[in-house]
Amino acid sequence: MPIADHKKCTGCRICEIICSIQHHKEMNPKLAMVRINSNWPWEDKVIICRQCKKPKCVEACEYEAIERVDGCLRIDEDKCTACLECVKACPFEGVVVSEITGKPIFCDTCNEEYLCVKWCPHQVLSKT
Amino acid sequence: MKVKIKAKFFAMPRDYQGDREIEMEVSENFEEALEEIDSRTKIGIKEKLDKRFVILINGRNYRKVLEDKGKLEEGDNLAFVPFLGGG
Amino acid sequence: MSNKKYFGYAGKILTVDLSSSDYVVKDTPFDLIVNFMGGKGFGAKILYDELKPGCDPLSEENIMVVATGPLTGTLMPASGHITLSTKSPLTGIWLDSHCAGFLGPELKMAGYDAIIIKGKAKKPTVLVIKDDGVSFEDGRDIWGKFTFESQELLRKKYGENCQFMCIGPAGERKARFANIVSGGRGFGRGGSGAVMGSKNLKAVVVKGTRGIGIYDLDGFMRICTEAYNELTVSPDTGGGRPKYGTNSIYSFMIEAGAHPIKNFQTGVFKAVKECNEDVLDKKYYKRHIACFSCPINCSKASRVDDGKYKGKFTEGPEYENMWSLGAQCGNSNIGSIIYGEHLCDEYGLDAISTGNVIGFTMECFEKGILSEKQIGFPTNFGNDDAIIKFIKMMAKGEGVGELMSQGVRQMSKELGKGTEKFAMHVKGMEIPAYDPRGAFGMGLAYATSDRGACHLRAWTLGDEILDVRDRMDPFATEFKAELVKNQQDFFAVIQSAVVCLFLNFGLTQRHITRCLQSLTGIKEWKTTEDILKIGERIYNLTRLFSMREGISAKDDTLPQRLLREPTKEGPTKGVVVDLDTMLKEYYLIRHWDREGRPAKEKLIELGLDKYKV
Repeated sequence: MPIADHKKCTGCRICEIICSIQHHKEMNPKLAMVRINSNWPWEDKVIICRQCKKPKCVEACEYEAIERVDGCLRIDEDKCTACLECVKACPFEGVVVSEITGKPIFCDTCNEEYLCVKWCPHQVLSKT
Repeated sequence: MKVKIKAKFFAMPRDYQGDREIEMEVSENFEEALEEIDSRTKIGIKEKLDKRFVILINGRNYRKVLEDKGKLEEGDNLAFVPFLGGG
Repeated sequence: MSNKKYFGYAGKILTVDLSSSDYVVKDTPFDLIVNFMGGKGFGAKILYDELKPGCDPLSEENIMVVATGPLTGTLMPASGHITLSTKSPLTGIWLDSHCAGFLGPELKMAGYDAIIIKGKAKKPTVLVIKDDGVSFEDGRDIWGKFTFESQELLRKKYGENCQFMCIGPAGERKARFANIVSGGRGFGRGGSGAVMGSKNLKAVVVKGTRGIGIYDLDGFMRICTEAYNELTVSPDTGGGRPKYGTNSIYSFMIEAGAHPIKNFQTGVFKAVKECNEDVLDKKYYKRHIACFSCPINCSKASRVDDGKYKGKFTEGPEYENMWSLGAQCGNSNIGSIIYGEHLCDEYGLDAISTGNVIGFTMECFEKGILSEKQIGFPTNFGNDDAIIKFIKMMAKGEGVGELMSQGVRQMSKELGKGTEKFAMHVKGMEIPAYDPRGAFGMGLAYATSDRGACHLRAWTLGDEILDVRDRMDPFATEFKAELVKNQQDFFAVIQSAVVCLFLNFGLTQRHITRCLQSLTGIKEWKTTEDILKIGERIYNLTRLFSMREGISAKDDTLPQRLLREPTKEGPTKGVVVDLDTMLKEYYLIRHWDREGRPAKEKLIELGLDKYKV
């Protein structure tokens, strides 16, 4: 699971870019499964799913829209109503919400390759 | 013969060294002087000179200065400056 | 969903008419792409074709071209830049101004390579661009507010992840060197904020959700990987710059006599012991900040923890402002520099010009040309209270601040009494933080920079002082013309690509070329020479633009102080710049005639022959 050391984050968003290339073959941070939230100038925070064993987001979802597929959490967009209870439930502030659909997107770990971890220039992200 | 020189460190070399400048007595022969400075500082002259930083003697490239006068002189300023760009 | 017509481009240009609250969206023409690439190149072509010669820069006739380039918003390192081209109210000639951060990528992801802004709104307006949606909204509620506060209010209104262009009170009242702020960054030089203010345009809000397509994915990933590695091993982009920011060269520039002190009166700054990059790093820098896709993170968040400026903060201070609000004014109080920089951003003033003008005013005061009565308080060099007061006065147009905010050229014109000899500008643009008497190449760079004195059209110090090839002497004229010309052409490419110039300190021209090729697949861009030809074309076209506005060879010069007045002490003692020798050679290499006009053959070679000299 990916862990973020927010203090090291400079907010460069290379993680977002590489994620969109990996999954969509184009550069579009808005499609990324990882997100940088900026509180200029003092903080940049990485939002990414940690793949909890007992995910609070699943518990919180009334519509059973979050399921585990091949070991990773995934959103069923048909079931999801974008109520975003999952965002509130996550104790790690780890749920990314798509600005296109308004619904959550979960990290699929690039088949455990974690390209965001690999490309992060400051080792903000690490996998455990 | 020994001469007194001032070694000044800038940016990363200063970071490695910890001082902004030190005065020292070194051989007037430049090669020997470099060895002496290298052994008394932490900047790694042998592996990094001309790769990570350059030495300016009194503001001019060391090779040019040596071409002109061949050796170090009393009171020379040696600046260790990394290859840096502007801002 | 990305544009599949041209890879690397959004494919559309948005033209906005503020007078009629109308807009059109057109395809980006392919010949514009191939010949002018983007950014500065787009600006040069569009402004030359569409701007009425001789128009008042602050009238509704002026046009702003805000443009990205093919590399903007991509995985290419440092691709967060964006360019604004217009006719400058400070200089009356060509202006391209560049902003780092996140605005460029956002605009491209909204689906536009460029926005062309024309006309003048009847009342304060906010232009909102969200993908296909373009609207003109009432900006009266934020008119008069500071840039940071305005952006905060806009963010609340239009959503978290928007990007902005926003002017402050200085731009609203059309101060001649007002800037435009975007996040913590800005379009700094030349008064683009005043142009925006003259159009009653308080802010532009941008949000986009589209992607950028890649022509050769594997090739592009390979070259990007290589580029990231190169940046890591460079002593600059992988060493001094990440740690100290742009101030990595600060102490050394003073050592070399290339850091102008007290309005270029001397090259000696004794206070360097307590005011330098090491003190900044240890005492003031709190964290590193990066722009979009940049591993270098040259930007720092700084805060003052004690003393009279306790609690003040800024994103910076950068090398240029450490000079302009520091050594230029004989000031070594870092707290005041941090506060001053924050004020400049907040009010919307270009901090380089601001500090330059303050230094000039201080010299006028010390020489008795301006009295304490005229100014309202004593303003000797080193008076940090005066610096802070001046910034506010310039922004608000109060007292002597009104005259100061018209720039140092206009100020010296009104004061007379020989002040033009030490009014440190070229073509009306205030000179930045390098003294050409410490490195002659910068003299030629300033004299021939297309937007007036600027260190970002050619930056020769690296080659002149830290030259490994052992070729250059900073105090000689040899090779300087060639160096300046080549850098100007290449920098024009970088500024049209549009990426950050700092890539220049870690990557080569080949990297940029290969990256452009694999991203766009444009067949006309085969070699580095093809790419540099575009740069040369752009640089000649901006020259033609400014000549049409009335400049000639006589304007390609430096203030008297640099040409006739040697410093009396320090590393550059006794030196003046031999500009004439370099300039003659420069014209020759550029194929410009003695009047500084591009020769007919050169224009034919560059495909600019339909443009008159």
